[in-house]
Amino acid sequence: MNCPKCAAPLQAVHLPNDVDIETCPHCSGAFYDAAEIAIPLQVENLTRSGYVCPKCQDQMKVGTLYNGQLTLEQCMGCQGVWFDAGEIQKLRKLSGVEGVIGSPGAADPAAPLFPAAAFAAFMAENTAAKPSSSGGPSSKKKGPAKSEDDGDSPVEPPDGSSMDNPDSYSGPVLTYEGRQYRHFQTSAPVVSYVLGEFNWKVAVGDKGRARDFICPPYLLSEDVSDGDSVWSHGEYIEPEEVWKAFSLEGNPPPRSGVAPAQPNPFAESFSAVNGAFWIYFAACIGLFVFLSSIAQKRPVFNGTFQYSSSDPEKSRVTDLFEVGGHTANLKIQTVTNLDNHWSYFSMALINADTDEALDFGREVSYYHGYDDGESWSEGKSYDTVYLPRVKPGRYYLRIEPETDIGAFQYSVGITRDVPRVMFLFLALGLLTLPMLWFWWRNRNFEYARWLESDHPIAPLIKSSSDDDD
Amino acid sequence: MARWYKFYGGLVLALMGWVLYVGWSFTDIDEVKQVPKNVRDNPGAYRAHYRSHARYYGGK
Repeated sequence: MNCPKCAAPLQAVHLPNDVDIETCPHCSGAFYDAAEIAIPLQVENLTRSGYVCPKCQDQMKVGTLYNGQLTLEQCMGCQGVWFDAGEIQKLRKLSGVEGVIGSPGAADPAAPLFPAAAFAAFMAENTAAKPSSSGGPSSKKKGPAKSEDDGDSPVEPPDGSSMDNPDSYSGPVLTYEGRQYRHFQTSAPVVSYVLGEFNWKVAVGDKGRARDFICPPYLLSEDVSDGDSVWSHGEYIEPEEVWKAFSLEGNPPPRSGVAPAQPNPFAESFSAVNGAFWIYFAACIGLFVFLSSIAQKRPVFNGTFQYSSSDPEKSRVTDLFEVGGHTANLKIQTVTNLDNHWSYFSMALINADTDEALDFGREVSYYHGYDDGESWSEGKSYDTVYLPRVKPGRYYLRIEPETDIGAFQYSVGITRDVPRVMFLFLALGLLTLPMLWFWWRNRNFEYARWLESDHPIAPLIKSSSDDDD
Repeated sequence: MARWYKFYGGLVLALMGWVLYVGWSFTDIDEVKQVPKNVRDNPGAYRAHYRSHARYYGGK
């Protein structure tokens, strides 16, 4: 059977009250036979829905209940009903019946919607403890929680009987005492043994449903069993503190893995560094834009020269040119008409006033061709070089070419004070590298924390076995 | 640790500003003093240190 909404294969789920349903692991919808709904559904305004019944392939119709407050699809053939994610909870609220799933007529309309509310209030006042499926031995618990979407009303119980684990797809977030708790895990614990004193009846074999939400170092857990919903609040305690509280000798055993509510020791530094990183990132770009706007970018010389192997003196000098402003770079661009040849330029920028020179050499080579049905090229027929920290003054350039060709032409263009975007990228790279290290430490810790949750973080590098899968 | 990064980030920012302002670059150059005064009239009177640099005889 496939989901009528998203076409994903449906999964059969056996519910505790001997009801078998089909749920969609992709969109969290669920299909119920007519005999699996405990309350009568007065579906009104039925119209063609365009969806096909996953069970009998008949056309399904869409209709409304409770004066249009709830919309669902019903098969006109088998009378089965399709509930989108969250619609079972909505049906509970609207009908006022907790046990909407089961044999028709089995529901007790007079039953309170949240029978656990009174007990939860008791828990809040007495800070009693109830073991949680993943709270660990170092969690102290107290009080009930409130859901994010309904701050003053009782907490919405999980749809424990409607689908496999909708929390793993929706990842609900709760708000309690101003903190946001992310869903960590929903599980189905079974009591195998008990140790201690409990203020409720507990027996080996009791089954329940537990949902854990975390906001390190805090943990919020809900335990649902027999229609009762109990919330508990815990706080992670360092092992040393537990060891000391029980006056135990020696040291606690070394930690293994990361507990759900264990504080991330790298989170604070990562957060601070991340904030500083973006400030410096923006500052670097801003500084580059500012310096680019005040840079001269002024052409100071342009000339064209001829090279001939028959010339007794092949060196050339440019006219004098004035370089002004503060100490800055000079961009020298040499453009040639070389074609499948090379040339090497020995150059010297000479200060006419101080007779000091900056010597440097540049090579220009450009080759191309067509071999084995493919064209290729190497090198370029031009070259650009930036001379660093050139002081203001009167200069000329001496150029001495060498080449393997008899004659060619080259032109030289000189520009003063040209900003180079390369240094902006270099600065951004230098800022990013340590940031990546802070991010990586923080992420590794969170990866270990969420590894066994319902929402594991994807690994940075997929192993080959994952690919095979 | 965050304080260290703030100092480091400030250093990178200042370094980038200085490099861009004074036009620093990675170009390999030699500074030579006392270049003959008649180079402009006789370019052959001075030979740059980079002359006869190993060159590319390229092509595929």
